[in-house]
Amino acid sequence: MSLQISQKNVPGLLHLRGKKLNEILASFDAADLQVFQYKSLAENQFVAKLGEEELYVCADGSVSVSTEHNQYAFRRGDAIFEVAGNWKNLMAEVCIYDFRQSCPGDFLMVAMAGISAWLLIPEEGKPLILGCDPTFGHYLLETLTKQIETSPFLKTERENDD
Amino acid sequence: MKLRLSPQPLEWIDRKNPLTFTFEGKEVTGFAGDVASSALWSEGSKVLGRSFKYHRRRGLLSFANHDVNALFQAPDMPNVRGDVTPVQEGQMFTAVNTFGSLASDKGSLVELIGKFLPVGFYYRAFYSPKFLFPKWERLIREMAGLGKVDTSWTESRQPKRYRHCDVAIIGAGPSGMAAAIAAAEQGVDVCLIDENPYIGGSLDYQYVNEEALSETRSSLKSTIESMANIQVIASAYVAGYYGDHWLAVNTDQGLIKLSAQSVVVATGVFEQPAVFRNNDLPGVMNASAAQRLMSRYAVAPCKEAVILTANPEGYRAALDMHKNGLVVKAILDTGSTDSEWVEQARQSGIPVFEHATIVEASGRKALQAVTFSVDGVAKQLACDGLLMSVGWAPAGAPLYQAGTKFAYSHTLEQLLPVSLPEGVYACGRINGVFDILDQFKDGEQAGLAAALYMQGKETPELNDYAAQMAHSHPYPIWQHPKGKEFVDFDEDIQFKDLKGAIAQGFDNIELMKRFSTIGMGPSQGKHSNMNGIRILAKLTGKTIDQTGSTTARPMFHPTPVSHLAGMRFRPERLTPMHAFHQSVNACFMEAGNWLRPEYYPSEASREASIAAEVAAVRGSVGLIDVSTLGKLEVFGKDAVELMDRLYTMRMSNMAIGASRYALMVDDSGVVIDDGVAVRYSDEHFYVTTTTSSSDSAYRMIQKKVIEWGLQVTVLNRTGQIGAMNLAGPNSRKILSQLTDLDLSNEGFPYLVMRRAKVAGVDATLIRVGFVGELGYEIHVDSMDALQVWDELMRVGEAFSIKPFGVEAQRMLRLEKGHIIVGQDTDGLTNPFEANMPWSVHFKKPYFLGKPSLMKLKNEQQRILVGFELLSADRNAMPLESNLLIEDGEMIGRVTSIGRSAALGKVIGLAMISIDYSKPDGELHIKLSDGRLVKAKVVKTPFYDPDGLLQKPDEEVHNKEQGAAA
Amino acid sequence: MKFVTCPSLGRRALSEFNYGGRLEREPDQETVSEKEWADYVFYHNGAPKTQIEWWYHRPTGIWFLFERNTLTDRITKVDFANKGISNEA
Repeated sequence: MSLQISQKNVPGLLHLRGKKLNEILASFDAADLQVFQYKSLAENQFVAKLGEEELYVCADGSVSVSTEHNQYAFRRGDAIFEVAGNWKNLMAEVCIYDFRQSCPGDFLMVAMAGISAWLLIPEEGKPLILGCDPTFGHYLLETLTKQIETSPFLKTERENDD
Repeated sequence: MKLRLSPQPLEWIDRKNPLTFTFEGKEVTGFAGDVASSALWSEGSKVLGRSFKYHRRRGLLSFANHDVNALFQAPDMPNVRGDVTPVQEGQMFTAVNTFGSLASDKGSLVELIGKFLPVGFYYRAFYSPKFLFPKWERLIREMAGLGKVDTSWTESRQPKRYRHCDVAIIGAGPSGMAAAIAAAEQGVDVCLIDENPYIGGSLDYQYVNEEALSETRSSLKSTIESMANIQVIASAYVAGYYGDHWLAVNTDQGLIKLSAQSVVVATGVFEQPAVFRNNDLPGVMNASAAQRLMSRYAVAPCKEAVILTANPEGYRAALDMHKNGLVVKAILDTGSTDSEWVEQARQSGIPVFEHATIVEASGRKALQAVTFSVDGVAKQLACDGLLMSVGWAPAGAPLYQAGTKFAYSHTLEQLLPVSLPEGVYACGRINGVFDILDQFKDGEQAGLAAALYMQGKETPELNDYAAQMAHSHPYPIWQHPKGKEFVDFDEDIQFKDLKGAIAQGFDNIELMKRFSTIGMGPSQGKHSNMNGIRILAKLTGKTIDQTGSTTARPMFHPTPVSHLAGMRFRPERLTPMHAFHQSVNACFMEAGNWLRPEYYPSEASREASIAAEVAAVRGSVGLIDVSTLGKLEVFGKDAVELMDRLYTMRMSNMAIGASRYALMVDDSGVVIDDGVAVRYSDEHFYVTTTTSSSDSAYRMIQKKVIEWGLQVTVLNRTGQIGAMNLAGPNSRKILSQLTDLDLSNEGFPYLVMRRAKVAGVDATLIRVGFVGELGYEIHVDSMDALQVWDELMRVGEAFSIKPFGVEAQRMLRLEKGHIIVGQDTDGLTNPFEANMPWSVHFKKPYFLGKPSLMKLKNEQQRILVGFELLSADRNAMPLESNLLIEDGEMIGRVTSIGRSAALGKVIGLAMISIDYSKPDGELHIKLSDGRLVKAKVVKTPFYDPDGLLQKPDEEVHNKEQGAAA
Repeated sequence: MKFVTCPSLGRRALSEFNYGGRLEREPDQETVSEKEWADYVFYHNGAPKTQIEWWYHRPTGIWFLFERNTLTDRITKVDFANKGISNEA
């Protein structure tokens, strides 16, 4: 499948901080999630663990936070994209990270094309989901699209794939 | 096709696919897979270029891009390397550096005056006398120089690509291929890089006729093909080695930045030409060039050859010629090589002259005869080819760049790597290994060691497989009384030039290089440095090691600038309201990486548009996008403690719902940031930072939280929250239509924060007075921001609301005397100098920079003051950064200036010596053109000094509004 | 370009990090002399040595401490910057 990028609309993304977030993880049946891993909940929905006291939740329905445990929830408006096709080839041109060390299920936070982004590393053959600060969304989409359209490396690889 | 041979076992050409191209306007026929030089040679065209300085005819020398005899001009590309660039159907080439044509080059007349262009000519011409320089420069630019650049070029940037592997192997010859397999067998990821389109290297062109190796060859290649963890990067050269095993790999598509954990250098050796009279005649070439020509392109180097050799490789080349049915008239052995080889040659009917000395090559346009002497007796042989096999120099660029030391081996008469940096390995001929079976073994052990090293395992002791006999002549230089013995073919450097340089005192390798320009041409000494070193050593009576060598720095081959430039990643940040700004054609400016509306063109000129925006805010209402402000959430048990420690003002006594100016200094007391802090709850604050410092302030605060061991969380919410400032006397009337919040002075007083729904979304509202009017800063989640903005604009229509940009805001705040950190302050300004002593609360036990501020408080020397211009001359408008002068001395500088419509005069801020800061004191500002204009110190705020407008009760407000209008 | 292997993050390019100065203990503001304070703020010994340094990983917002030799540029130890660590420096 040829390389394609598209903007994705997801239910609200929540950034949770505080103690005892494992109870919230457990409510998504994801209590055993390690730091920098995510769990897919449904189409376009996931929960990711960024630290012992930090989660991203992207799911339908609300999450209730407990003031008793100093839990805080902030809405995030991140720009979220889906890259179908051989996304590693595209990443190789904008991101210095060595993807040989990442596994499906990793929630990867990396520098990409000069900004910070997060990636949901997919199962083999599945599209990559990536997100960034909303104010950089336009830039990232434009940059990745231009790369897909103009890179001679990607062109050669496309021809080899066909 | 005069010189095309019958099919060769490993040939690269596709005989089913003939093609034609033109060279110097003449049609040339070849096959797909041919390079320009091989196709030309196959048709008997032996003059491929003209030399740089004397415009002598040149043919093939290295046939490997180690010289630039065949340098061509294509319509869209200068300096195409004819020896290595595959030719395409219909291409058009001409020779570079000719006057007239390649066949008849008027530039060759230069040779007649050659004696007036002595060594160091360029060096001295540029050196003195100075006034002649422009003349020389014009002449040299005209005469020298190679291909022509198309000056109507368009920008072209090739992407760069990152690639990662465990072991990178440079060179896919016999030892490189063996190394790749040995490393891959350890289960690591291997990249095997070769500049040729196919792997094989010297195994294919030197041993093509060695039946015993054909099975090994196919097994090596098929193993490499079949191993999933070996990636071959062909047609790519390693342009440079950088620290931590980074390789810059240049490919046609762009540069690959290859990061490896260990590197095997199997780059082999460059064959070095012999230096003798007329050694540059077309037809005289390296033996390896002849072998490449035959094995890869099935083209004969000549019909009748003489071989000059100092090693077995020359005999091998002779036998290859013989096998292809070409005549080898003689082998001239400079010494006496192993009798087995001599025997084999003689059995094939090739005469061998041992202990022979080359005298000269001769011929009019190409080689016609070779003169040599044996036992003092001169002989001449007619021939159209002379193959030189007199020695090798390491292709050591990656090793040198990695920090490898080389030492000269007298056994091999070759420089060998002696101490390799960690994780770097060498194998094959660069290691002095010349036996082909030993090359495989040397490659295997290097590949294995590289793999074990990167896995953190113990590496075995490495065996020394270096040959026990010389494969290079110790001094392959044969002087002739009439000269023309070329050492560097790129730069037309002859033996006498180096001798002259040394005689003039340039007898150090670095000096000799720069004075004579040896090794400074496009091939960077690949075919000339070793002979240069040998000559220098000989003439100065030093050893090769004492003489040393120059370092081959990146790039290994000239690399297109478009490849080095790569794509340009220039992050650009847009606020949530960007779509609105675009829809009304805002004029944007860059603020850090943000795009912000500078102004909205509503009038004929920029100035008028800005003035209209200012008037709207002062007279009715305006709306500005301030989403670029940094925004931090601070929460947790120690939030109060953190706030008190970070900012100069006391924050711990803020009531819930209060807002406060937040000024931050660094350890030395210099103002680094300001913003507004609000308190949401006992343990929860929200703070803004300046646009430019949101990332650095956040980073620093995170660090301080760790240093201070506080239980507090800080989140950077800059991009997640949109913010706007609704300002002007009618702002309350607009806001009241979009919220249920009590907006009365009692319900929502000045400098207080409220959280409420605005236009249906959750918002934080702060009553602020930055622009000096009744105003509300409204913060909402980014996804809601545009909706709130649009609603405010819609409701504001009835009040002729105007969106206003950065320029109008600058004027408005200037009228209030509010500073902008980074514009009115510099890298040394403390809060006292910024005229904000009220912002420093020394009674707190601790805050950042407190000891510095305590010291600075009593040592103040300059201060930020307001001034107004006394001159009414519209053509004498000072600019920001113009200096203030008293008694010829600089006493300060203008930091902000503008023409205030509300006040009807030019006002500004200036950082000046405290001695001149008394109110009404006269100042003199020096304009950029040198004129001085008068100004006087005035108290700030300039506008509404008592701040009545930003906290109006109805009556006062109406009165002031009338006055301002 | 160097790579650094960090806990939780794996092998990362140094270009993802910002340097944050060497680990130093701030003198007690209450008792510090002017000279000690000036030394802390302005004077740094640049002689090559192995030192502990602050490095900030931008994409995750995590501060690390690297043990690095300023002569060889070799990083020999990497750890999270634990809370309150400067008190032990």
